[in-house]
Amino acid sequence: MGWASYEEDNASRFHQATVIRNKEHDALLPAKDAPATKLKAFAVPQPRPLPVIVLADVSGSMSEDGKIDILNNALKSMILSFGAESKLRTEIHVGLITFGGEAAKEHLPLVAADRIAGVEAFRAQGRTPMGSAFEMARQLLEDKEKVPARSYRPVLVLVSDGAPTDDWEQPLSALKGSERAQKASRFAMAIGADADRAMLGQFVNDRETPVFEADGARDIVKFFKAVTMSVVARSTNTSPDQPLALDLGSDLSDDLDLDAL
Amino acid sequence: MLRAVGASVTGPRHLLTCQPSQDALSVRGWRGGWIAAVADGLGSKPLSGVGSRVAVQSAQAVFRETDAWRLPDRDVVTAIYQRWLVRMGSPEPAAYATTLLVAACNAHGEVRYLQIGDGLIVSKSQGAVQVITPERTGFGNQTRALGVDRSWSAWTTGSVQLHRPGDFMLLVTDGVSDDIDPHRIGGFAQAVHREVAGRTRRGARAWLTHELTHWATPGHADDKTMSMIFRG
Repeated sequence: MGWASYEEDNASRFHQATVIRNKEHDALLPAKDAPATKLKAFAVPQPRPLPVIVLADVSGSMSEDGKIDILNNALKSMILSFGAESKLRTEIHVGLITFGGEAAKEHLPLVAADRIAGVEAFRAQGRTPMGSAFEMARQLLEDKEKVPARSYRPVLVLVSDGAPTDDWEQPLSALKGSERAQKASRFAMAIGADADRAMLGQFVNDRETPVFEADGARDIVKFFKAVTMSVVARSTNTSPDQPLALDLGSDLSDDLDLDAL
Repeated sequence: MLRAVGASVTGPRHLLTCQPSQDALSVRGWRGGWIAAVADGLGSKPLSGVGSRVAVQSAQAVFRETDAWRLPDRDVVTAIYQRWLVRMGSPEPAAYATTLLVAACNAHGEVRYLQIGDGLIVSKSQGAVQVITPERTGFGNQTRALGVDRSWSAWTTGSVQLHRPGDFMLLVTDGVSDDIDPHRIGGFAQAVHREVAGRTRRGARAWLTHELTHWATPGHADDKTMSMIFRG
């Protein structure tokens, strides 16, 4: 028996045996067999949440060119991906606010992604009440029960293909001026030529990630994939307290468009 | 009799990546009383582990080597900050950014406390439990700190008396405070006191180390440090 096979034999014989495992390697495993502690009753029993709130445009113009269907699929895919992620260090919480018709509507009030059984398919109709969506997002972020102080920095994602039809300046100003809500990372995607880029530019707060321009279905999918990858990477990173950065690099556009199947 | 105890453990995140703790702890006797200091280096700063250790040493030194006890809070804070900057000797103190929580207790049970950044100070004085740290306005990964904040308003300062048996002063870094049920902070502090008061100093430190190592919150990752001065 040569030296190499001897080494392999040692490794395989003792694989996962306590004799060669340093206890530090177990540090992040679920504490199923952890000794009882007297302070357990005072510890929060959930991992720290990472809130992700999506503000989605479902106004009438989203029905053109199948944009609403693409958005529905992209949202569903993103939430499924979040739910499938390990909760070892962080629990991704998803909030979903849509704006179409007369006022914004809260579809998901920030719940753990793995507890979301399904997301309804939205229908595009009516005007673009984006201002009321800003107001709803601000209220959600200021709610310390839904977004506790121990949460990681929240992420706000705005998707729109048109200009607001309600008073948006004051609600956006309130969102950006709120002591808590202003601390969220804000990203935006402009779909098509009619999107109000100047307004979306006022919404985002990451200099390295300007408003993402989407010309078609592939770009919408690409944007949500980038959001998904970045959030998941942050939630599984050893330092999830780092700011979120969207990777909208060229390699994403090289992906095969398999979601249309 | 005034007693004190402290413990600090490296969090699972740093254990996993074979990195040292960024928390620091110093508990030392002083003129019949105690000085306790805990600090939490900012995870995003490369040398914050050094910054936190120097911060607790600076706090100890200012109370021991100067007439700090007689000075106004603002002057004490300034002296600690200046000493920390001198010890760092770096043109970029932000690289060493750290929180700092200090309690200095004289032989009469009079306590002066100072805090910059997150973490938690809880006192029990005259039998009444009080959470001294103001409620956090931001989120879990945002804090004020030595090295990045130079304003007096970033500090929480004051004094309490530990006169009755059972009175205490508890300092914890955010690795612990973020994972305590906010509605049960008072109960948590009293449970810690009950346990450490019934043990020797060494036994109390071992118990605290065990509790912090086997913290019950799923996915807890931060370094954890806790110190208590109490009247036994």
